[in-house]
Amino acid sequence: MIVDKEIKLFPQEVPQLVEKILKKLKNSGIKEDVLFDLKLALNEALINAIKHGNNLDSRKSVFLKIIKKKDKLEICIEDKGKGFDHKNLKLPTVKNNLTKQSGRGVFLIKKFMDKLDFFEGGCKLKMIKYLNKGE
Amino acid sequence: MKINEEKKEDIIIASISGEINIDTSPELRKAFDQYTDQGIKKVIIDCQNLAYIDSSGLATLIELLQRLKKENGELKICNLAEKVKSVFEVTKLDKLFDICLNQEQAVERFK
Repeated sequence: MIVDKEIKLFPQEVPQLVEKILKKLKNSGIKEDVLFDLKLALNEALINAIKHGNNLDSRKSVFLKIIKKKDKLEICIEDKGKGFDHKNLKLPTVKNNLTKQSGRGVFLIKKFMDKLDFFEGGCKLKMIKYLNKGE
Repeated sequence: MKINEEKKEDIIIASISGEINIDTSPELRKAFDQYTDQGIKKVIIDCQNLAYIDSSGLATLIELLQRLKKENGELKICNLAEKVKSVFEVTKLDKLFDICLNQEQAVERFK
């Protein structure tokens, strides 16, 4: 287990936390290009949980678990919100959505991680990154 | 995040180093406010030393592009590092923005 944490933060404080987590991941031997992907996915997922999941309610926590296995990293994030319709998200890459200010977070997680699953109506997500691809 | 600004004739070149994330985006938006308030219509964002961008950073750049377009202005982005470029590519924002190889190409495309 690399991280097992209850978080109460404002969205703008997330990058600083992610930076601390990345140091731990780097020390565990994860490569730079993989660290970029993990950084992006962690920032997007945690900010979504605080902003959209917990609706910026500072009394509500977000739970973060990061487990490193032999060939993969598993990240679980859980918020205390009502969930969301994760099966019908608008595709940000279609022409009409390209200029939209929001709606790219989950899409970026899907693209930069190898697996993303939602549970409990969207309040909980599990994402996986394989660490030895291409070796 | 640091923004280094340079003016070449009627073009402003903003070289951004560090990260554009949810924490630094407001500062970037402030700089962009100044450009549009000053009536600048040609902006180059040089990303040579930009190590990271997230969805809030992309949103800030989209906002600047739209404001410039409204005033018949133009925005060029250049010198994207491989990983940062991949964020633009997967989101297809490389089709929305005019992405240039370097500053010289960006300046040339204004002509």
